[in-house]
Amino acid sequence: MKFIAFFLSLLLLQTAGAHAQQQVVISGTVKSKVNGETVIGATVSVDGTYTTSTNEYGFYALRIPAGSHRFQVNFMSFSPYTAKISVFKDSTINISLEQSAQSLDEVVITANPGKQDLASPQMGAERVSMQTVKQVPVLLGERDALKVIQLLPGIKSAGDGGSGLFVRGGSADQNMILLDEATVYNASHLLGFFSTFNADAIKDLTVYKGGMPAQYGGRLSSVLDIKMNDGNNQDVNISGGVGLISAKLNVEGPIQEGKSSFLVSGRRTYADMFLKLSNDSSINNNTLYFYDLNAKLNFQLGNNDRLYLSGYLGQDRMGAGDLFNLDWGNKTGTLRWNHIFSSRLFSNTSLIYSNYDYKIGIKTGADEFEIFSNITDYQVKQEFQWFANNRNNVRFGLQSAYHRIRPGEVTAIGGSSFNDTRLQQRYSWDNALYASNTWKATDRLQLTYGVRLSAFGILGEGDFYQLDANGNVTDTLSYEKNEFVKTYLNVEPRLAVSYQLTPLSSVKASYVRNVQNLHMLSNSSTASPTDKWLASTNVIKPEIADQYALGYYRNLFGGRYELNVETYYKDLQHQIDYRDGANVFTSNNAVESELLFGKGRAYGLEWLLRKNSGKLTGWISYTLSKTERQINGINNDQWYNARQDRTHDVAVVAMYQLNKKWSFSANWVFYTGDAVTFPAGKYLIDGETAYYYTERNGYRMPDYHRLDLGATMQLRQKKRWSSELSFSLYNAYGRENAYVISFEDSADGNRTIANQISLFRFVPSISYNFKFN
Amino acid sequence: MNTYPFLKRSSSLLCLVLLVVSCEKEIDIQLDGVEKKYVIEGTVTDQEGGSQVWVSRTKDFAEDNSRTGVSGAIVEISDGNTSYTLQEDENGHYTAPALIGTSGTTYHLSVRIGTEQFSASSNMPQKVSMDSLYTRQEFLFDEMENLPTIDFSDPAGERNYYRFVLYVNDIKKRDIFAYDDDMIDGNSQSISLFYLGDGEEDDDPRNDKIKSGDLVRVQMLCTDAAVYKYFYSLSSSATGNPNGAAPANPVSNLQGGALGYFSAHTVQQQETRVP
Repeated sequence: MKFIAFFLSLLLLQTAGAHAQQQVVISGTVKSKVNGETVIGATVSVDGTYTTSTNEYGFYALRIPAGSHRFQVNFMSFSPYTAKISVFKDSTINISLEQSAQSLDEVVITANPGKQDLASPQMGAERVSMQTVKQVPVLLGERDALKVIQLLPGIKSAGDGGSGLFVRGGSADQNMILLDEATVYNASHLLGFFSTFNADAIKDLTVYKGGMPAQYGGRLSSVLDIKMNDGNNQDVNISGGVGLISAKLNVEGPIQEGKSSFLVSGRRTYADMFLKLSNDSSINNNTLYFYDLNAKLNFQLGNNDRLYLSGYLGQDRMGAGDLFNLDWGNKTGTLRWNHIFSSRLFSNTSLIYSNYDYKIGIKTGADEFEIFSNITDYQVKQEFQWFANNRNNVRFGLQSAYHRIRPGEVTAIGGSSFNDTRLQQRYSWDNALYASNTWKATDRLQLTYGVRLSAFGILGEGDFYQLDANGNVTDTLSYEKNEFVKTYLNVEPRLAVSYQLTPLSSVKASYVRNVQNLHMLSNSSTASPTDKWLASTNVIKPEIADQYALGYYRNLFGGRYELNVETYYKDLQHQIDYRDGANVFTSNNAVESELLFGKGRAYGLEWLLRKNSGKLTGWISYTLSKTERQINGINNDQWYNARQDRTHDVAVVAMYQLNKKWSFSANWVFYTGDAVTFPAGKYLIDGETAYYYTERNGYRMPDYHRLDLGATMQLRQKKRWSSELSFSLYNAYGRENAYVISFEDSADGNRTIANQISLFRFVPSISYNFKFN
Repeated sequence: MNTYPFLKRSSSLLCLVLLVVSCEKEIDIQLDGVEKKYVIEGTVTDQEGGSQVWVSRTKDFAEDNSRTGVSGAIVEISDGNTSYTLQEDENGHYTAPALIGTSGTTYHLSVRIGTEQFSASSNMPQKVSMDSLYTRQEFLFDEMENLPTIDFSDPAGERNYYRFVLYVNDIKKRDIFAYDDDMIDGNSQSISLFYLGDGEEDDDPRNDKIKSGDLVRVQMLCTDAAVYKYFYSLSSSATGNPNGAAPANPVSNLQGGALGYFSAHTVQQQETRVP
């Protein structure tokens, strides 16, 4: 058992030089004074020599020599907290930070959650502040954190106006999207134009595109860790907004002041109500809307325990009279218990529920039927953070999830000619054990090393298949309920190193292996709510990615600017695609027979220059990258560009605070068009034009570029009331960006033409937001 | 069941709701020419004159849409006992008037062009009776549509594959209507052909809506599995429309590396006037 040996060696930590003087541990929680929200990532330092930052629950611990010290806590727009402390035994110091008075009177914005951490080995990670999310102009003014991260290097949008993501050459399903630790399987609304995350309910978003810490796993290319607000435990606070397509309301407040709080946040689009106003029955019969509901309860139980209960419910409804309707949505629930065992040992226990389903209803002529599919997870996570000493910070834990997938069920209603069809349900038990240590080896050198051991058990009951090279079933194996079909064991090493070159610059390197056992099959070029989730089977192997990354980080001009440059190489195994002519809606249980398996590689260079403070803030990002796949049976078995292969990807984001009343923002993006398959020729079949293809993704869509503008006007503030008007213009110079290019006969039928469809041009929006407390 | 027409229509509804005007225009795209490839389209039917083979070559995108026939090919179809040599009656069109197919027989096609050899086999399935053809009206998204509808009874316990070819006023519609009996096995069917015209008068008449008084004619073909797969994959990936699947050549039953297919199928036909 090498793994256990490694585990033990982790615990034999390097403690050189720690015994020279009597040491004590100070620990506590950092909160915001105004609303009691815990503060994530605040810097805690003692005498400027002992430094740490708060974890995702606002907790910190620091080992210092006994005696008197200068104690300081800093975070973004909060006033720095400074105190003299005298400690002679392990102590708890809880801090409430006050909003910086300065940021109200003068105009000093810190758009970024603190300067980049040159010393930390963590690389490939970005935190996005909700402040930035509120300022960046987006389509129809619907503030969206997922659209803001698309402006960062290495993260690409999955289509014009869309919220889907491709991270460092990964596919759309290779992103782990977590909302309060629960997996969100489909993070999009309205066919992908909006994300499921209502910006008003979100506290923090961190995206890891590389160097994933060992507590994360299950997807190959990224982790989006999204935390909901905890709820104000000081005052009742009501905020809301009315925009062009949606209205939002957010209510939070104390249940017991300072001890417990609640939060309810809702959003619903109402554009469909205009449809109802129409006299035309063809229009007012239609349905099209979505809503989101976030709720959270949060209890402080004594000094050492905190309990959170959070939930999310989102639903899309789309329908045309009785003829056709498509509903889909996510539900998640998290019960989380933070416990401080001692000033050095912090524990988090979570029980998690997650569900995604869609239902299609069709009624045409005598036929009426429904298609239903869902994926449900029950999960438990236990994590410990052990602040062993100032040089070693250990995390270890266990995660166990049970997945149930219902791939598709057709139910006929009445005298329909359809037969009821049930695809086999699939069950799996997904476990992971992990441990990692962040070791400050010297003042300049830090390492995070760890390992994640994943064990994915495929459970009966059900039939599993053996296939020949052409995908034909050669044997069917039947399993009983809860019988193990196969268990995939994988060791996922995680290693990150940082070396501080000067006080202003550092280099970092990392290696991670990620394993993915839930795969989404998509036959189409755009994401669809009906894309199919599949678990690994005896034939579908776990996808594996090894990523190597190297980075250089530098603060410029006294920290007002920062530059980071990262390069990565990613090697992907067991990638999945449909065979040509695959039937996506089928009653055939052996879906594997429609699939092909292959490999991928992705590499790139990412630049980010960011200005963090002053009237003008923002960033410039540039990514140069290549993404390829090689799957036998596609493109004559040769390597080909993945659809998301975009050579150049540039984003410029600028936010300018003119005065207390007005702020302006703009962003401009440019990227090489997606790789796309165009015909090499044509011929006639059954008297109609058919197209001849020789190469997968051998062509490019036209280059994409777009400018968006935004402005926010603060309206007159009263004591407890503030409000603002936001304006935005999406695609301000009206570039006709190609959404789809199709090929068809000319009107006279004598020749063939290429037709380009473009969507959003000059899309204006206005929204009104208020806050009352 | 193909839900694509529904999704396509509902996305235009989406544009309406998002206050978006999508904009469509013809663009100029430089597509590289490639080496020409042979295209073979062969059929054997249970009707007189149904045994024919087109042999042609692909053309570059920029060329016109006419067929480049290939003359001088040696084309043979065998039913296992008798071999028929097809005669070329026009450029690239080969026929065997004496060959009328029968259900249950497997036919073998052989085409030799110079030194290149292509072959395929196809089994003519049992005929499933086309009971009736009529049109019914249904409200599809924004407009009332006349949907050609075919009644037939799918035989239980066997795989059946159907393809319908739609003509309106003797103009053939481009849409491919290929179905299998997965999910409908053994039931009596009323299959409607979801042809949605564009309603623009001056445009290509092949895109006209079906109106009252129009003569609707439907051919019902019973094909084998490979031919169904060919037309299913053709419709989803090779018609030039982004119909979902990644663009690719259809899955062909031809051996030897030509495009196209060889199909032995039964044909029935009915017509009706739209009330």
